[in-house]
Amino acid sequence: MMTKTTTSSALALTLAAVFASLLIASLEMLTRERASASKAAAELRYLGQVLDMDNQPAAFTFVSLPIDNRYLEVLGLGEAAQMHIALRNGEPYAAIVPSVSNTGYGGAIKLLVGIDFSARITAVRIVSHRETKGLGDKIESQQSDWIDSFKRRSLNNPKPSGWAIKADGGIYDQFTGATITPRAVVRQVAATLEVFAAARLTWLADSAPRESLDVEP
Amino acid sequence: MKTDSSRQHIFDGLWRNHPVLVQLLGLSPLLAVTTTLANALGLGVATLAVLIGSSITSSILRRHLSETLQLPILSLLIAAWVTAAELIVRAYAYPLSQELGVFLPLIACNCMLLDRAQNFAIRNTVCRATLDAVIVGSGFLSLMLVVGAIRELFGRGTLFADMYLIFGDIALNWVRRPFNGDYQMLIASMPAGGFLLIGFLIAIKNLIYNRRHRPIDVPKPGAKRVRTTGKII
Ligand SMILES: Cc1cc2nc3c(=O)[nH]c(=O)nc-3n(C[C@H](O)[C@H](O)[C@H](O)COP(=O)(O)O)c2cc1C
Repeated sequence: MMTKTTTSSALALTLAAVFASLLIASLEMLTRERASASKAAAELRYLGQVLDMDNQPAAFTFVSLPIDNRYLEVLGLGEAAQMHIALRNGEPYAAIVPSVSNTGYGGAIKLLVGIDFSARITAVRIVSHRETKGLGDKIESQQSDWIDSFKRRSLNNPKPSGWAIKADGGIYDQFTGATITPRAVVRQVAATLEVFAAARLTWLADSAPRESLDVEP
Repeated sequence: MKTDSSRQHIFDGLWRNHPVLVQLLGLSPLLAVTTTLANALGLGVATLAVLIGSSITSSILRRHLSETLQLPILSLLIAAWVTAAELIVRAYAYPLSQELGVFLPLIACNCMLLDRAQNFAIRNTVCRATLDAVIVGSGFLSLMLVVGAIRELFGRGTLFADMYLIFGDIALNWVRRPFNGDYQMLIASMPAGGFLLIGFLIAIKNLIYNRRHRPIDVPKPGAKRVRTTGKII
């Protein structure tokens, strides 16, 4: 009797394990292609949100480059990170740079900043933040169009003194009862533009098609 | 929790023995992700699918489960189905999988699944186990939808926002704003608001139920589980 139950439940455990492995392995194989396509589409949507794609997403491709260590601190990035170059019809069009402000009210505010190669901002989007709902969350594009006030701005437009919220003598609006959050975002966007100005030529060179490297040895 | 084979009891999961409203199972996903109808639909359907899968497989193996190996085997089956669901969601609704984040794999920890496997599926035929899973899972899903709709409506002033996470671009303009202008009631989107809402829904359910059924069900003293809002049948 004892051995019978033991064999029987050993059989059940084996069956369950085999079934579990088969189910997961076969589904993984069946969905692999679809999953990577979905992921690529999501990435395009994610990076595309800071680009003006004129409804031509197909014209854009992306090259990812590691960000040079010396820029990481200014960009608020703790560890090695990547930036992306958007190519339009194969030509470098804009840099898409992740950037984090640590001077917000509720902790890190993660930004995605798009800057075209004439050094103008294409768009800025908030990736994540923990600002207070109803106060600081107006930086989200779903909550208000404040974040669009960065569009087409550059380091010279406005002048450096204008790169601040109105309370600090700049040109950007603050929110009623919340000046810390927009101040943090404006500063970080300006800092990102400065990094772009310093790294622009390197990024351009690195994103250019390198035919010599593509040749098979 | 004895198994009653009479017909009338198999539908209990929808109302009289509702997994959340009576047994308070699966509260964590319920409170965490139901800030919008889209999230609630996504997680609710995934949970329903996993429940059906795990009930069927548990029932198939029911003659071979010894007391000692029952728990590991059932957990293994549930974990396998959850992983399967995660793979499918990631392939066909990638943005939803990003939005649900850790709560998708955490379905495995929803006690409702183990409860149905342990207390029903392994004591019943595959047919009945499937039916039970469909009913209990639908009870869970429909409550998720109610809570999600109410929280989205009051918390963000919208309905059907974010449906594109599941249905893709065709759903981009499904969003409805029933109120004029900007409308937000912050507490509705916060976990506290979710708790309050569940509390009210339980109260309403008990009100209706107790009106119809006298004498009132009172939990038996010394009952095995204490976190319940009525008698677990
Ligand atoms: C609970 C609480 C949450 C707050 N959240 C924010 C916030 O998310 N963003 C922000 O800029 N200010 C927030 N504030 C307000 C700031 O403390 C500060 O008063 C506000 O930015 C106005 O700054 P000012 O005095 O320079 O005008 C919050 C205040 C309280 C009491």
